[in-house]
Amino acid sequence: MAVYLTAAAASLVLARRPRLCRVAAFGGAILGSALVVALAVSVLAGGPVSGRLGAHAASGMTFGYAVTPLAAWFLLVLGLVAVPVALYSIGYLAHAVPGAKTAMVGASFNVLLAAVALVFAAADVVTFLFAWEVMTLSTAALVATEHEIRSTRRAAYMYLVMSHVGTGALLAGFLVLASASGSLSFEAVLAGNVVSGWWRDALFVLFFLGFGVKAGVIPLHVWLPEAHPAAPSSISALMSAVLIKAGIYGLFRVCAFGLGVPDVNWGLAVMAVGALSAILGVLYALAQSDVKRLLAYSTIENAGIILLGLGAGMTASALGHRELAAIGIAASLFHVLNHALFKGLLFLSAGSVVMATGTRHIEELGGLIRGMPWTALFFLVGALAVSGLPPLNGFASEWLTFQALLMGFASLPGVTRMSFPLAGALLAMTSALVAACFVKAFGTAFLAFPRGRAATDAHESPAVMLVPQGLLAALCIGVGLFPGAVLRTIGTVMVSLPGLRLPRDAPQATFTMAPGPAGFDHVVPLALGLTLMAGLLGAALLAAARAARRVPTWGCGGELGAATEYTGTAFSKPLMMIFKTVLRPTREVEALADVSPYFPREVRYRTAIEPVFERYLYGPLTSGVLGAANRLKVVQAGSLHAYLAYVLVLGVGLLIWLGGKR
Amino acid sequence: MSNNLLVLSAAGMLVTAFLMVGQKALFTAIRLYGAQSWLLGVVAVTIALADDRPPLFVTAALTAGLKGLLIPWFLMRVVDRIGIRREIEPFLNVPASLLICLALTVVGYRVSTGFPEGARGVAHHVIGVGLSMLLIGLFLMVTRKKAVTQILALLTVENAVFLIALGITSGMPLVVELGISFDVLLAVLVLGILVHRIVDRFESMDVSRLSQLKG
Repeated sequence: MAVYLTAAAASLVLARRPRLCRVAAFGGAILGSALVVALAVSVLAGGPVSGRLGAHAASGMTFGYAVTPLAAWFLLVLGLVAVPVALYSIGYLAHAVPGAKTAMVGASFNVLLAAVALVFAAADVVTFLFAWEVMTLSTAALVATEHEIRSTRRAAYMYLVMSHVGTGALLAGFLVLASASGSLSFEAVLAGNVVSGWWRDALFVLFFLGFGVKAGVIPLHVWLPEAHPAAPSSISALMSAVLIKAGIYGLFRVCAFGLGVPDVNWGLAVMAVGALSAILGVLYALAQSDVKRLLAYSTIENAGIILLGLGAGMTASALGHRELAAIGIAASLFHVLNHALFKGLLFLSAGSVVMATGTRHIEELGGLIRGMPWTALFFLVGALAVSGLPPLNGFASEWLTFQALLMGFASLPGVTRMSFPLAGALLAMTSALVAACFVKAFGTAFLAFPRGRAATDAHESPAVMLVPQGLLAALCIGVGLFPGAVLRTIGTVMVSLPGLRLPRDAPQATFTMAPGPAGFDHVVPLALGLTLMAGLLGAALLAAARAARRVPTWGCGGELGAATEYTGTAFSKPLMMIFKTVLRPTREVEALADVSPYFPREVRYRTAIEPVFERYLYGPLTSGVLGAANRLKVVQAGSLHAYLAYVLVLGVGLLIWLGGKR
Repeated sequence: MSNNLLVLSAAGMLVTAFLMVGQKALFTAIRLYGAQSWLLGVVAVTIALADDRPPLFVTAALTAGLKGLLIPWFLMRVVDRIGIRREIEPFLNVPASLLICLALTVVGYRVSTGFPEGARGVAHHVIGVGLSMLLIGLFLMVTRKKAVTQILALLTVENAVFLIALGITSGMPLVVELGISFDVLLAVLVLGILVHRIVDRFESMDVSRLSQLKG
């Protein structure tokens, strides 16, 4: 952590010399992140590490860190993503951010990494909340990097507001816990027996709100699709891969394992929110044509999948099915890693595209695979992984989540039994839609003919930006091929958590995954992947065997150019129509004709989806708060005498109240 | 004997506070404040004699000199120079104000019974008077508009606090007393200048007009 802070300071010192500053700041970040990885590995292999950062003698408070295996897992994720992202930033920021701002970005970047690491490692409430706030503020600074743009300022503001509401909820929750346990250290506060009865439920709701904002689950997600696209791409990668995970970590640490054995209803609530986030996230993603917004909505969807696993685990744990709980939690933790890897990769690739073409709008791109073959390859790997195709990593964790949900149906009683397959069905639909969504993104941006000058002139990014993408892509493939090894590591995490028991034959060999009791299926992703590829190859060979006739497309008598290509909007249109009750799309066609309405000179087409949550949830909420504030203004009359009268009335009231007690 | 004198002077202070509430003419109000301060001095001297605490003589002299003479003289000069002599429209008329002050006195006395009795057995009288005066002073600040009345109300509150301190501790350390006295003097000087400025600016010393300064 000291390395991060040093790098942040170095970045500020070297503000005048952007080049040197970049190298110093992000080199420091790489070094720090590598150390974080080393620490996490040593904790996972050895045992928890803890220590003290400082103590305040007068109040008897100590600020400490304690890297539990759970924290180590998240630290590992942080480090694995941060190293490539930092390396990438060295190249990316040279183009994306003017020299004067480099120092600011570099410093904030390091501060953010340090804060997130401290969030994961904090051993007491004060340290945790401090790190949490530093994390929020540094992210806001990063989001506001391009603060000349109005929408960016709005995004940063929205992020700040939402985060502070969340932090308020957290603060309230922690204060209740701290006063009930008489201590500030996590060990005492989160021992699980501090509060009971309906207090526990109230606390769960508070913490779920507070952490849910950061995790970006629907309906607390509204800041996310604004903030992710507004930030520079490498920052978006970090936000999506790491920052979201801070919220998830909180959910794990506090909601699932900090308040005692979870209630069945909590688990079901988490599952419901997870399913909602997953399905709505991907539907909104489908409707986007801004590549970074699309990725941002996909982040919401993935947070939903993580929550599905977590909720399944919590429900099972509440009902005493410890093995099933272990599978749900394992799936969730696994997806945390996987999402970080492939979403980091996708954002970095998207960043390369944005840098090369100067636009985030995929309808203006096309044919980039010729100009930027490597970026295209890496984006494809990321897209396959996010779609959950074997043998990539996304498959492994989504499959585990499915297993948890389906096994829940087999072994749980009552109403819960029904909710599991329902969530499973939603997850299945989500996976299919994600695949469609990324076919759209990849197909529109990288295949076909260029739709504009920007796409024609695009050229490959420098090596310093390609290597990190390659690194992440390799990790995606590696994790996908060897899920057993990863699951063994997760096993050590889960041993440390209460209420879980590893299934006997959980991670058997490096290549296989076998979540369930003996007899349930064992899966070898590599074999599946090979089968799938063999099938595809066979199909291709079959197709090639039949002689194809190449003829120009019939263009209804008009000229056909790149502009008449099948667009991404058109691709997603059928799906939009199917889900129109949810998305409520609106469209507007405007034809400008010179001579006759049948020969339009120009056709303008605009389509939008209705922001349901913004309009129906946050709209009334905001206007309600503003209205209440307006009514309260009467009290703040600005009159000296009125204020004095308040003092007098309060004083007399207190005197009567306290005096009457004697 | 000394107890009787103590309670009598304290009661006198309460009476002056009530008279201030009932009084609209500024000169009279200032004179009432002077009288109140002299009575406070008497209280201090009584305690000094009864308990044989010489430092309290200094306190008494300071109180009588500063608050009984210097401050009233200064305030009268201010009023004289400005030429505004009456509180014309308080927020609340005099009978209603007196009734409320009566209620405040009841509150003050009710609360004072909770305090521990001092050695002389009259502490709760003194404290009751002090608390009532404090509330009345605050009430004056709330209902009156003229800046000079506000200053007088503040000074009444200050006297009340002083009285309570005397009642509970039979005298604070001399250094503290000196500090407080000079604080009060400086406050009055500053406020006097402020009143001049307000009158210059608004051609009135109606404090409620200060809200016009808002942007």
